[in-house]
Amino acid sequence: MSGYASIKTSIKGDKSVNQDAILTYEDATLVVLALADGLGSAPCSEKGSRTICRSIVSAVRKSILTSAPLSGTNIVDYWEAQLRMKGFNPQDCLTTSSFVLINKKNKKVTAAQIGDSQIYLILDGIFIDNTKEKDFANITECVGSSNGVKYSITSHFFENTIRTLIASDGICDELEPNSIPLMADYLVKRYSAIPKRRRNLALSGEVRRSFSKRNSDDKSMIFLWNE
Amino acid sequence: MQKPRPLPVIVAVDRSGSMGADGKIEALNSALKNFIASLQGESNSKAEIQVALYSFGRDTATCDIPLNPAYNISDVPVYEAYGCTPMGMAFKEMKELIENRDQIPSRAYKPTIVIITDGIPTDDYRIPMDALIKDGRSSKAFRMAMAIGEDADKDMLAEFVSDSEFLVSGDKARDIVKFFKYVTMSVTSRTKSQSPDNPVIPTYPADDIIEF
Repeated sequence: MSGYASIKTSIKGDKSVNQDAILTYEDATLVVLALADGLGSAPCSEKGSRTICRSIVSAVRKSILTSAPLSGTNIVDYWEAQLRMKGFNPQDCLTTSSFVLINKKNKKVTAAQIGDSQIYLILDGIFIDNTKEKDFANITECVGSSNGVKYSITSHFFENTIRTLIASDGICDELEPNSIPLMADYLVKRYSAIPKRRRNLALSGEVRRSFSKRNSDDKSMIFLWNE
Repeated sequence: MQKPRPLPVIVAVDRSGSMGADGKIEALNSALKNFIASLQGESNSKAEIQVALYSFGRDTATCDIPLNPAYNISDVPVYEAYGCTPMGMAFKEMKELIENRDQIPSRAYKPTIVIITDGIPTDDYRIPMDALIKDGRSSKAFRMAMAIGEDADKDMLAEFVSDSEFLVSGDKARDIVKFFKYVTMSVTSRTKSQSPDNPVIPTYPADDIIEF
């Protein structure tokens, strides 16, 4: 990424398929980071998580090409249509969805979330914790649920530096939010020193080594910083 | 080892003057005592049943048992029937409890709210009821109700409950006892379920009819 660097990984837990999905996209004006965590209770949630990440990028690109406004509803509608076209029932493909859009020109950052994957931002050195607390146990808001859940969206501007971390609950459940700024310093320092083509492999190895054996969740994260 | 998750059961009972007729308040007092006793042995490694008890009568609603693990509750109040039916105040109190994450943390299972009444609310219940059943985390609770007798506002209670199966009508004191057995079955089946937040609608207990 020109001016921006990112590292990402998505590691399967103890299930037969990785229900998480990650996707990054960059063009002349925008950077998009998308992460989704398919719900274990839904039989085809890995389709849902991959499709929502692609839907986010498609909706962003369409919005740029047509100057049409981008909305969370459009993204979810597109996700549903894509799944139906491939013969899947969206109710079988429930997934969380989190994404970050960075407008390179005006340095506006938009963070959007449905569900419990977390987005952390550090803008010009100021830590912004977008953590959404669940209402009760076993309630995960998700794309595809019938109660019309919508993206929770926040926007910020930065002047000089940006660092952002998106992580699925397999990772963020083990992170102490207050330690994220220190972790971000560490990641920038460590991965800036590694050649770009080897960074994601190194990150995957480090995630595998760092998390407790009892954590059997899929583990996915994207970390971005500007150079 | 992780502590069991709280499973809150929040009960609001009518102690207005009309409950004094036909042995209703006596049946309520007896049923409440048995209800709490029956929950005391039902917590397990996964779920800890916690109970809060509210009552409404005279001109106010009161919290008579603050939210507590059922096994810690030793004194159950004995009610006397008197005064009006300020149900809206009880809705407000229950809403405040459920929204308080110190009292009911995010790791708790969805609460069950139980209301039992034989009358029509005498205060402005609409705004607090809508806040309880439509807004915030309280809207996600299971809601059960018992309408005792012909004077109970069944339309309001039908709106209150989270499923039509959770509204029970009765006209005798012994129906109150049966209703609390029904609530007990619903709560205890949740503690034994693999997914305690999926709605459990038990079969309403039949009368103990002895055929001969």
